[in-house]
Amino acid sequence: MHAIETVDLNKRFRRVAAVQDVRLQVPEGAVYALMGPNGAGKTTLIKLLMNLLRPTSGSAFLLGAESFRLRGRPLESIGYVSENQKHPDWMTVDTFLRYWHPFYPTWDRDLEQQLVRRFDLPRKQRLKYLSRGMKMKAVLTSVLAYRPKLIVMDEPLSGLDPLVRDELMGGLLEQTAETSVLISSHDLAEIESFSTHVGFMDAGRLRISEPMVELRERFRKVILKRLIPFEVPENLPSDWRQFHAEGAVARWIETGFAESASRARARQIFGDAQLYSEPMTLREIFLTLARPQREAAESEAGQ
Amino acid sequence: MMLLHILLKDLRRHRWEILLFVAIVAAWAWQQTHRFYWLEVHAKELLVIVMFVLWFFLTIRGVQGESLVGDREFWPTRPYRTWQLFLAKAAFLVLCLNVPLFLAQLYLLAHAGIPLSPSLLPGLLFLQLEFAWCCTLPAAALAAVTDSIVQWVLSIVAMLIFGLAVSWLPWNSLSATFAGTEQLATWCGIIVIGLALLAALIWQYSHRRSGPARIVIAAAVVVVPLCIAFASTKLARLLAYTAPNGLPPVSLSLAPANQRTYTRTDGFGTATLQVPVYAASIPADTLVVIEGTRFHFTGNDGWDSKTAWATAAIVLSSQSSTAELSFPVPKSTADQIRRTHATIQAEIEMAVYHISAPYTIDTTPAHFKIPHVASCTLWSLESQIFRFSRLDCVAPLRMPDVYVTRLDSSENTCSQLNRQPRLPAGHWAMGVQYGSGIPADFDPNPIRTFDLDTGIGVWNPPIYTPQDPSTSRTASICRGTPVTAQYGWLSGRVHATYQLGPAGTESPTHPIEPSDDDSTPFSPRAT
Repeated sequence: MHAIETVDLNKRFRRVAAVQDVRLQVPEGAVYALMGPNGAGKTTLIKLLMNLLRPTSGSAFLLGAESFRLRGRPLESIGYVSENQKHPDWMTVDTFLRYWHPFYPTWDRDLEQQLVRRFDLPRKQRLKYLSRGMKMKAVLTSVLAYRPKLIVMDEPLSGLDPLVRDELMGGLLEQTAETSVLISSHDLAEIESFSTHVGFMDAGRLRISEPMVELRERFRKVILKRLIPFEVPENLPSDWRQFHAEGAVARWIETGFAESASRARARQIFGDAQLYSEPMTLREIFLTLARPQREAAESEAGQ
Repeated sequence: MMLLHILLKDLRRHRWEILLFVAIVAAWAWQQTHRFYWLEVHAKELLVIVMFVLWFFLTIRGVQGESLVGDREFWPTRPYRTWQLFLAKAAFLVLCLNVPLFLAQLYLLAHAGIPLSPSLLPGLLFLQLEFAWCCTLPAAALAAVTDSIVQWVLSIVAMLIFGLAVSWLPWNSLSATFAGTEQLATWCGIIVIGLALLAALIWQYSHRRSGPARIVIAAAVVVVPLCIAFASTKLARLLAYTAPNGLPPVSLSLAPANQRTYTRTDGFGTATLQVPVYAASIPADTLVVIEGTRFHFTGNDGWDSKTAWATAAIVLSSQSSTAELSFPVPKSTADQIRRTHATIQAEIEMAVYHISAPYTIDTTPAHFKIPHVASCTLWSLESQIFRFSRLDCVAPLRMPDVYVTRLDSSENTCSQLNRQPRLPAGHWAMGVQYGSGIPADFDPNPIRTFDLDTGIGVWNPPIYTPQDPSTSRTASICRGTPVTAQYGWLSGRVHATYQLGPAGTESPTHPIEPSDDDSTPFSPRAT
């Protein structure tokens, strides 16, 4: 069973399609990083999953429960942390945690105390007087304390300084060995280190969704060297991005890299040459995917 | 358990606002019993206004504590149980709003000397239901589809603008309304609007979909003018005034054919006709109030005409059996009635009250009780040229549906002003007061106050002052004046049609004398 599964999920806001035909599968125990430029539909997708919005069509399941029925008991094992969520700011950290305690049969008081100490949370301080980072820590504590089976996080790191990010993610990872996590973030370097799966959304569509290992295997920076300069053929393979040739050296990013097949194809196009490939960071992969979309959108707007 | 947990959270969160509300309710109750001069003069209604502003404020705060609008709230992603949340909010509102008001009402009743008997409890609980239904429910429903107090206030402003626009509609062109149709329309409105708001509220709690809930609330607002218009419809009249089982409760007739006259008073374009009628066969325990009339004239040459429905307030009883039916018609119609010796058919909408046996109230003591109705205090100040008397009565929660007082001129104890002659015997005066017809009047103060004198008016037949024969002497209650009283309850509303026969001769004045011959020359025909 998947922790999260969506089937042709769609959400329209009048004429705008915010989420289109999304088929997402987050395996149990996975840490799924959802990437995408601003306005790609990540937050809308997460709100659909959490039953904060109703889908126009399609369906979504979290831990086997259909998202639009997600209320009451099923939420005892699902946690949600979002940067743009309103909280009962009038409560102190202590009141906040004590308030949620009876809602969850699995609430662990010791873990709660442990997290409060770890995050150095000021117990008597009201939420409204906490910094953004501290507030996120308090909310994360209120989620981790009941050991949820699934945590959905929408931009939890946005606007936080590196130290707080580190503390927050450290706290999260320590407690979530068997927890499935879906996290949307722009902080790619941070989530790259622990994500097992990656999804890339753009213009409401889920363009890519696969295990991190496979993605990094597939996306490669390729360098081709020949002894003599060559002419660039007109029709390059569609999975070659950002092709650049100078003299006898050509560079590109291959989005469907497979060692022997890619090498054979390059030889077929350029003749005898030396081919080198380098792995890419998640950030580089993100830029590779996002840039053409941005350029296309800008040129469309320019016209 | 979760219910209690949420309730305690809300109580803790809004503790200062609740305390302020309780303080205002206490101050209001204190003002009701002590009547501070400064407040009475400068801000008589200030405390009650503040009380209800806080009432609405607390309702909004309570509901919007877990806002049902928007997708950024903290609670929908937590394991709240819908019904527990809904009931926790309901409990919060009852506890913070109704309970302080209920306690204040108990204090007011006790202060007015009304014993707190268990028989008062249903009425007091009904009063709480009225405030919950008419104040809390609309405020809560609106709070459930708005996400801030500002948005709530703006919605109220929009409704007021709608109300203003509706008030400009040509309501005068609608048919007349009567007490029965107005009451029916009011109840329909209260029930339909209340149920719609309740449905919107429950829908919003169970689905959190503001769009449909807002549409339902907007529809509920539109129901208000529809209810007002409904009161003027034939359907409302048919529902409010039903055909009697068997004969109508009263038989109406004109004077015997040879003495039959009616009065005509000409105005601009119209003439008002006043036709004296005699009521018979009214049982002693029944009071009939004519609330609406319509007349159909048929001339001896085949000409006919029908008036529009008109509102009336004519009281008939076994002791008061004469009345005047008055209606405006175009002058040409009045001329035709005279010329063609038209016959009259009257359609009457009437309320029938079952009244108690008459009992006499001794007003000699300063304080006395009217059994089953009220406790009264007589304020009386009399001299040769000046007389002031006022009979202030207090009743718990409501007045009876109808309350009749009757004075006899031979027993009147009031001193005669300006050397006026003593009142002759054989004259009587009657006052009728009406209650709201519900178990408790919609008023935060459960004490109903009324003056027993109200509506008594002049002696009947009139007693004219010697100085000015056109001025009738008014009847009033003074210390020691025996008052015959009857109270009663509405037993039904009836529609009846009477064939009254020829109108008779037109007269500038109309001598209406109690006739010995009260037999009905024309039998009433119920429709």
